[in-house]
Amino acid sequence: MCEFCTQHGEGKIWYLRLENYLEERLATDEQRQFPQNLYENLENWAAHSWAAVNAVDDPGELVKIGFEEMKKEHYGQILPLEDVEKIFDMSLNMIRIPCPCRLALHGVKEHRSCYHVVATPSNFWKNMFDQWPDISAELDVVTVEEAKKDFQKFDEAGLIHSVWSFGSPFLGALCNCTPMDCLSMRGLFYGGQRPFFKAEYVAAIDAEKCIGCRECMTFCHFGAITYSSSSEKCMVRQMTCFGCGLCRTACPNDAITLLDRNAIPVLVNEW
Amino acid sequence: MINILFDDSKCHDPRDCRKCMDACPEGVFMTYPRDKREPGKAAGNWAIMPSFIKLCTGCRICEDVCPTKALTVSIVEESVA
Repeated sequence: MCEFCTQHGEGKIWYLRLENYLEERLATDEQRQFPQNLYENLENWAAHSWAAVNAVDDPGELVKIGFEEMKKEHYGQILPLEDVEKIFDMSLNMIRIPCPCRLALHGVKEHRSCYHVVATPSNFWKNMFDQWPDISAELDVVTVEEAKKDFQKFDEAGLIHSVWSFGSPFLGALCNCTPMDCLSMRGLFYGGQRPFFKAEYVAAIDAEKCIGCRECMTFCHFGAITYSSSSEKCMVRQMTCFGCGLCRTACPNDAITLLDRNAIPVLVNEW
Repeated sequence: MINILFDDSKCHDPRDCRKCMDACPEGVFMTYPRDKREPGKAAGNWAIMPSFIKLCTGCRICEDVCPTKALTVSIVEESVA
């Protein structure tokens, strides 16, 4: 169990608990104010925070401290496509906005890959975004079926799915990203720091089925797959694997499955 | 030590141009609005800064692609004390 499952999931996977998608989860004034403050200042906050961190000799240490602080408000976890679909089945209202990270880092607003979900009929996210004309103009309301189809495409395109809190444990958004395009995953470039947990799973390759084509390696953003010229097969380095499941999507021979991280002795404490 | 200096009078709309952001192999740049987002008001007057400067290798590809020559990569040799 990751620490959020223990704290906010009653021992079950925290992002599969319906109550964590209810606005009532925003218990304090500070938490209620967080989503508003975040989106009002997002680009300025991120650009200046990263610049400040980059101004010191050892940025990795400061990034680590900053990300630890983010646990209270905005923290995430990587998850495979089938778990995304379980979340969509609990969602009553869903909107899609252009990814704010890609906008800030590449100026690209056509990439509609940021999905805000809420498990009440309240339009919580749409109401918030509607107050800002630049975000509101680009917002779509989507159905569960549309969202599932979109995520299928993101998966085939090799984008990592993640789920994010907005005033933990209130969960509000699902992302599709790569370390280069994500303001949070950028921490991986600073000594492997990150404000998100690895997935509840870890990939494993069936050596009988692996044909050694190495397609899986092209989909792994974490460098977790190696190729052995002795066996002419690929294998997953489990301590490095984040459990996103993209290698499974890439495999042409269905050789890859996801195992429960909690069932593997050394990985139980590797989040 | 590497720094990247922007001449704001030459860089008008980095989000529309994107050239340095697309070319940088390390993803050093980030855009931010000088005019804050507020209820009823869009964020605007976008500028760019080298937020991830520690990743910069000093390759100067950004200088080459900038259509208005708005940025300069400055490399200061560190003296050995």
